[in-house]
Amino acid sequence: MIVTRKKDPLVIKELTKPFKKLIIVGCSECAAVCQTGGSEQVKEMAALLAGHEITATISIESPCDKRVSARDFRRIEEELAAADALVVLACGSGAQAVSEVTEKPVITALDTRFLGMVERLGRFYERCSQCGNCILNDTAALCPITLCPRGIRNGPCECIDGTRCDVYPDRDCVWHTIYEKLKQSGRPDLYTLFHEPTDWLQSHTPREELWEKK
Amino acid sequence: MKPVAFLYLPAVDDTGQCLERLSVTEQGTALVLGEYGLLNPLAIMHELKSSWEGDIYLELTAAGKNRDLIKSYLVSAAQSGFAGVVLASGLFTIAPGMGKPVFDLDPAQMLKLALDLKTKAVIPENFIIAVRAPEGGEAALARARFFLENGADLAVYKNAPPEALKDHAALIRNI
Repeated sequence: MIVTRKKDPLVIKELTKPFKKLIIVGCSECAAVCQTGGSEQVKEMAALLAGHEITATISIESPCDKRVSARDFRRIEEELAAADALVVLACGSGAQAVSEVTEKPVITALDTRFLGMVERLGRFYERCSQCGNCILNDTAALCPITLCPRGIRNGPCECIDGTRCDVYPDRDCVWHTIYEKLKQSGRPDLYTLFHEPTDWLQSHTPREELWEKK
Repeated sequence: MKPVAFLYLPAVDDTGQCLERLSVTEQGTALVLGEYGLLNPLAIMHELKSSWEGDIYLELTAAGKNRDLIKSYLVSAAQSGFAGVVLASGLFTIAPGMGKPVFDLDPAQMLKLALDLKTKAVIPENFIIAVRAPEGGEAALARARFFLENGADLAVYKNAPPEALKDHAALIRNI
């Protein structure tokens, strides 16, 4: 899930100043779970921007999916044509998809933070850095690239403090945890498997995944 | 010859101060220059060599360098007269306004890079490749053992090394 955070309302007010007619766009998937772009937050945004003419509010299931956005915007074609700008409560990918689909000025109301694991509402944790060089099969399903502040692929480093991380002393070093888990699962041999440096070509932006036609 | 102990100067901010400090330090021991000061140790090597009687090593940290720069440091250290390097990941500090942290390689990957350079004779065969050892539990011991089994000349410890590795370990202490 993409974890987002609301921008300062004053920033949104400032950014919307040049525009009279606005549409507010929510995301009923990731941003709804984060309580940053669900229907409640769309209403709150409408209230914040009460000085403008809000011609429509819309919650799109996956605004990042251009097919879904295009379909949903067709339902408010007239309002869209009349709108000066759209205030989008979605991740950066969603906001850009909305911009491409509508070709209208877009004001992004959220900051996109990370790909998150949800423990429960309000408890989101980064577990994957999307490096494109996954070694989870060798590391007891714990990603050291993400869970180690240095992103070390063959750890621990010399800064380990007993079993603790030197950067976050309240946490165990992930490489200590990997070692313990591998031992418990009967695969301690995986611990010293050498992992090559990250192939940055796999995470060089902008990334694309294009299926080959058969 | 591999040293059994190192003296460590973590940071060099000023050449004069550094020389003065070393002039009152016991000579003859292997000296490790760290990269935490304003001055790059490569820049003062020439002056240090004429005033220090023992071998001088560079503590080469992964912090703030990508693999290209690390390679350049290894070659430069060898050509500048350093007797070897002590590889380390380096400190990670969190501070407001900090630059983007770069940890492109880890010490195991740095070790492999250094050994590849030796194989290709880009750095001399007698250039010592030591690695700062993690200290603490079984996981740390397993990694230190990995370094030695995979070509490191020495595992460098702040505290007493584990009995099993003591023949291939060196102690390091701050000046």
